[in-house]
Parts: sequence; C-alpha cells; structure tokens
Amino acid sequence: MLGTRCFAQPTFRAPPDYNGDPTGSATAVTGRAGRKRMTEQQTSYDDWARSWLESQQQAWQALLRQGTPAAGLGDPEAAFADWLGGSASLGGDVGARLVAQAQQFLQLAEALGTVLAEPPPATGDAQGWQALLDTTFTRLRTALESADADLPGGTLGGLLDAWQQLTARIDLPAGSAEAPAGPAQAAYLAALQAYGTRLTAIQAEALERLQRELAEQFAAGGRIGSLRQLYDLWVEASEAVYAEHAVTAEFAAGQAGLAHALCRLHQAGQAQATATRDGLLQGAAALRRELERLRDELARAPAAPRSDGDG
Amino acid sequence: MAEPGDGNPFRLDSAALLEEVQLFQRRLAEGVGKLREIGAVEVGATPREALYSEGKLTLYRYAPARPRPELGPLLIVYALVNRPYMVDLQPDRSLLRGLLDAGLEVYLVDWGYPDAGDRELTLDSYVNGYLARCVDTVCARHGGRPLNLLGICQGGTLSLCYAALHPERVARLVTMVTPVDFQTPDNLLGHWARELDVDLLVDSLGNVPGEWLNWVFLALKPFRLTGKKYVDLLDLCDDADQLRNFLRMERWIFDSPDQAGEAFREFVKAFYQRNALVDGSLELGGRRVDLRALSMPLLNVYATEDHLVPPAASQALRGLVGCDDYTEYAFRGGHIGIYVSSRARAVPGRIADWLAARAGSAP
Repeated sequence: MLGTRCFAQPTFRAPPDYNGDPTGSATAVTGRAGRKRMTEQQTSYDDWARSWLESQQQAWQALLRQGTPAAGLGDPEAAFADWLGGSASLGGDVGARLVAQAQQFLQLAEALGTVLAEPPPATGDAQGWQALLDTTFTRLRTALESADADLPGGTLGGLLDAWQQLTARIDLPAGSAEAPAGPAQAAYLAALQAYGTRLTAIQAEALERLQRELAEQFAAGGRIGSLRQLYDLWVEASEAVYAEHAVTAEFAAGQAGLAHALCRLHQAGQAQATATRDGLLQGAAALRRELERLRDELARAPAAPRSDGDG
Repeated sequence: MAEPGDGNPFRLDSAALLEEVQLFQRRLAEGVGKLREIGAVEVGATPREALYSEGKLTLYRYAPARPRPELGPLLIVYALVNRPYMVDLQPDRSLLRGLLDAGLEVYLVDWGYPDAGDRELTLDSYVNGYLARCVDTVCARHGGRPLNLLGICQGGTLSLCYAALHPERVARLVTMVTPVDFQTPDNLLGHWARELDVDLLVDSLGNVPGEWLNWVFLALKPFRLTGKKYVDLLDLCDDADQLRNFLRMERWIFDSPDQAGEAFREFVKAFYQRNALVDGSLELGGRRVDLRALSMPLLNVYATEDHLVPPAASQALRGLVGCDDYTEYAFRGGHIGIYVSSRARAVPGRIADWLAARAGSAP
C-alpha cells in the first residue's frame, strides 16, 4: 500500500510556491531549509538552500524522466501509486515505502544542512559547535511536538500506515473526528490520539537521546563523517528509546487499548447495521402480516357483482 | 559555511552533504524505477507434489535427488501466522532444499488462508485433526513407521503438543525458533499479549485479520522494520538479484493469513496469558498436554538474536521434557536470518546430521 506520507512534503515535487527564482529573494521557498534568511550574515545559508532546492528539482526530474506523472495532474499520490503499479504490485508497494522513508532521510539531511550552513561558532571550539547543535535539536523537538510532526523522527509513520491497513479491512461505522458517530467512535479516536501522542513523545525523546549520544561522542573525539552515519545513529537511538517504552505496562495497555477500541467501534457499527437490518425485517414482517390480513379479508368478503353487466 | 576542522564535530561540510544527498536521490530515482520494472517475484522454488488436502490445508511432498531412506521422512510444520514458503524462499535460500540435498524425503504442511468458514476451528482441530491426519498420511506412505517432525516457530509449539499427545507417532522431534515459555522477561510479544482482551478481539472480529498481526510484528522494532530497512534498500539497488531477494522477503513479511478466531483465542489465552506449556495446564481434545511425555530424541534449534522468540523462550524446553536425548543448537542470528542469512546454509546440514546420528535407533 502506498504510504500516506509520500506526498505530504515537497521533497519530491516542485514546491508549489517556487517561482523559479533560485535565490528565494522574492518568495519564501517551501521547506525548512528553504526558509528565507534576509540577513547578510546568512548568505551562505541561502547558497546552501539554493543548492538544496536544485537537488530536489533534479530528483523530481529524474522521477519524471522515468514516466512519473507530472506534478499537478490530479491527485499526485494516486498518480504516483498508479505509476508504481498500484497496490497490486509488490514493487509498487515497496517503492512507495521506500519513497516515504527516503523522505525522512532527506529531512534529516535538511536539518543537518542547517547546522553545517550556519556560520562557524564564534568560539570555534567544541563547545561552540555543541551549542549550535543544541540549538538545532531544540528547534527539531519543538517542531516535532507541534502539529508539524513530519520532521526527522517521523519514521513511525510506517507503523501508522500498518494500522490504517488494518482498519481498512474492518467494517467501521461512518463518522469523523469532528463529528463522531457515537461514543464508541469517540473512544476509538481518543485511543488513536493517545497512541499517536505516545509515539510522538518517543520520537522526541529519541532526538534527546541522539543529541546526548552525539555530545558524548564529540567529547570523546568522535566525529560524524556522513549523513548516513548520523541517520544510523538516530535510528539506533530511536529504537533504544522505543524499546524502553515498549516494555512498560503503560505502553502495553495503550497498545491493547487501541485494539480494544477498534473492536468496540466495529461492534457498534455491527449493532447499527443489525438495528437497521432488524428494522427492515420488522417492516417486512409487518407488510407480510398486512398482506395476509388483506388476503383473508378478501377471501371472507362476499363475491362482488361482476362488472361486465351480465347480471 | 562550516568547514571541517578542530572543534567541528562533523567531518563533512555543506558541499559534502549535498553530494551525499544528490547521490542518495539519484539512487532513489534509480531504485524506484528498478522496483517498478521487476514487478512480481516468485517464491517456493523447489518442485513438489500435493499429497493431501483438507479444507484450506495442503500437505506437500518434496523428493530428494539421492534419497537416504534410513533417515526416515521429515514432516515440516510451519506457523499459522505466516506462510510456509519462508523455508523455500528461493533456490539459494532454502532450508527445504538443504534438507533434500541431505537425502531427506520432506513433507510440508501448508495451513492455507483461513476464511470465515474456519472461524470455529480450535487448537484441537489443528493438532488432533489436521496435523494428526497429515502425520497419518505420511506414516502410511512409509510403512506405518513413526516419522521425524520439524516444527517451526508457532508450528513448533503445535508440534510439541502433537508429539506429547501422540509420542508413538514421532520418532525424532526437531523444534526451530519455537516458543515454549511465553512469559520470559524479554518476550515483548508476551508482554503485550497479556494485556489483550482476546475475547473482545475474536467476539467482535471473528477471524483475526492478518493486518493486525503485521501491525503487531512491525511494532516490535518499528524504526528498523518500517524505516531504516527501506533506506538500506538503496544500497542494493544496483544489484537486481539482491533487489529480488528483498522483494521476496517483503512479500513474505506482509503475507500474513487471517487467523481462525477460536484457535487464536485459545492460543493467546493458553500460551501467552497462562503459559500453559510451562505450568502443564494445557488440554486439547480432553487430554492434558504433558511435555514429560516427549521421550523421543529432541533437537531444539533457537536463534541467539531472535526478537520474536527470545532464546530463553525456547531454551525453557530443556527443563520440561522427559527425554534423555536432548540437544540444543544455538544459531547465531535472528528469527528470519535462520532461513535466509549466509550462516543459515549450515542449518539443514546440522539437522540432517543430528537425524543421521540417530537413524536406525528405536523410536
């Protein structure tokens, strides 16, 4: 199945508000790396952002050259799924997951890019770099804890996709977060919200862990030599934090609670369907009784005079 | 612009980062294109014949090129929660082919995909029904003599139950990555399952959707299993064979059959919540499953890095069985690596050697 986040970010398509001005001087460029910096001191950052944007464009063009539908053709997610081969294609499924996760990787690159593009710390020593790194991580955590939960750390989207595939298999009553169909749906949405909040908290804690481990490595003279190295460390830190949470009673209860809420929602939907079916059956039974009553009445009625005038 | 130098914790600069990103994106574009080109992948490489079928179940037979009848037939019982083609994923990654190469005549139980009509199937149906009839079918082809039973993962648990209830039908028992003690401290699945209201799950859903299992399994290591794995995939994109290997594995991972509701209810309650193999409280078909009845030679293969069935969950078997001839084989790897890693090629040979060393001994 296509990951729901494939097209949530502009990483693989031309930013909708990109006006062709690579300097970004007239329009704010979409994406955190492209946020316009107006001061002279940050010219280097604009240079980096321009290069970044160009690389994004090149990547998108590379996909286009392979036959990807052009951006703007209806629903891009559906178009991309069709191009990959749709859900009937294993390669398509994997390709979609790959693109979704590559996006997370590139967002980490974007975050790292902001660190590298900043002017060197005034002190120029390890402490100065650490302070710069701390600032960046603080920014990442703040963004993660806000509604913009698509920052590095958002790889748990794959887990939520798996949950969505489960819910797609189960008959559920209609309704929405804004207008839940009943208490079961409200309870389900609350459980889902709690689950998502827990995952987000884990991701935020994972960033803290990564920051701490980097600081320890740096203090010991360790260095980060590639984006991939940083990504791998981040995944390790995330998995370690997740494992600590996963063994707690609260996590197990929350996970089970989500499954239970889904079951109750399904039951509520079935009850609704059963009530509707029973109502229809009762109506049909009433009609049948009425028909039988009319038939009996007709049978008991004296023969009516024929209307062909032969009497 | 930051430059590498004293105090800078990054041994790269913006230009190097950009170069890495561009390379990554180029590989991504190429990789996605190749995935699209590859399309479907085949699994289950080894020729076989369907010997017996019943409901959704099919019993397959695989013939060795150079049979060694003295080893006796080997019946593989795979888990209900995944598809059995993991033991024969592709020609160069096939436990089954390795067993055939060792001269064993191999039979495999394929449980199929249960549907709504199978909701009422119980553990008794599976163990004393389906599995017992498969054993009977194989034994009948081999002069009525007892066979060798190889149970894998959940199929190992079912095999332990069968062998304990029908020890006269099993000459030698091999369990592979098989949970026995479901409540060891490091068993995350067990920890979660104890919180599950499985009555609610089955009463409301009937059969348990395979997608629910997928979600639970992915949740064991979500950052690796839903994230890093795909980023790492880009390292394989230059090699079409490696890409196909990845796709075969991916197909297997997400090919989770729905679970017959009643059997699932019983399994979770008995094993995960009551730990019934350990406390001896399990009953199937009105008979108590007592592992002390396992008097046949027993080889217990576990994986040292198994995150689904931790080693301790398998090793618990040692203290519960009644046989004198008990052997453990610790495979250095994980729950999946035991089939498909480079080290996995040694596994069928170890099993065959263990069987050969006991060939001819009275059951």
